[in-house]
Amino acid sequence: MTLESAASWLENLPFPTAIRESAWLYPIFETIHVMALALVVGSIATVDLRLLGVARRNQPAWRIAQQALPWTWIAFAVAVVTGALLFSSQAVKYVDNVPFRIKLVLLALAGINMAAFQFGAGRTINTWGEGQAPTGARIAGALSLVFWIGVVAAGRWIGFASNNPF
Amino acid sequence: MSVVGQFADWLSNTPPSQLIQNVVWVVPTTQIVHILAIAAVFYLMAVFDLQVMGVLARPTNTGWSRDPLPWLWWGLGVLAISGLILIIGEPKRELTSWPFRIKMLLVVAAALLTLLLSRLALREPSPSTRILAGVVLACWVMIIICGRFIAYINFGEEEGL
Repeated sequence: MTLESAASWLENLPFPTAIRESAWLYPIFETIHVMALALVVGSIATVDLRLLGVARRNQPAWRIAQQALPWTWIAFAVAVVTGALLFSSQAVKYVDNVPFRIKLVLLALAGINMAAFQFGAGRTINTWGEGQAPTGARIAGALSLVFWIGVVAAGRWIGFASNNPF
Repeated sequence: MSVVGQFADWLSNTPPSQLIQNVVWVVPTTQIVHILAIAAVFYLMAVFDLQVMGVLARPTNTGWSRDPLPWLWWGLGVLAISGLILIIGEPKRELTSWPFRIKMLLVVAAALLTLLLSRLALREPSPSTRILAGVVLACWVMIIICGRFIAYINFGEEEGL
């Protein structure tokens, strides 16, 4: 089964077809997707900027992370579900869309960076207190910002590269 | 053609608008900046409003001694400037759109109510302060919905983009 025939099978399932044929479902799911993505990027940026020492230096990094990460994960789950629905409705078009592919790569990189932080520099986060984060953590924060800004940019670019009404 | 439509026509022929229209990367790049600012503002607002509403725990040791939302106003500034660039670049798409017009009314209301809330929240919130926080959060959600629907709804007399 080629990628194209898999995409074609997917978009002809009943619900993806309903999304495509409805005037409202696509915009509604897209709006929820944008709100969820905003919460993912906004919450994770507070952690990244704290790691970099740009914002909230008077608070320990672990407290910023503790406040942000539940938002990040819940909003990410919503963004994945709504994103999958948007994708399924136009799967044939999206698999061929270069910005869409770039977005997926950037998402994977953001995930790898987060895992590396979790199991690497971030393991001692509870001991950093209000001071500066270690170099490894600052690098992870900077990479995270770059990848997530890239995800937003690629996502917006999808709208311009495809024939969607943006 | 309505007065607003005529104004949009005039604006789209001014040099700044022509410049934005002719340099292809300006509108997409500005939209990306706009979305990143929405991300910052929406997350900060959601946490703050839910804290005032009592859904999330209020910050204890650092507290809200002065401005509870120091970064919010920078975010709103970036939103206003990037939004203005988008309006100048695509006046008809924005000014003749009903979701855009509703969004602008909500932005003014939300900004004033947020300012009021940020002052009231310095004290222990009363029931009316909690309700105000809920209203403010609902306003910001509506603003995002209207913003996205600018791309989809145009009931005006002129064709949207």
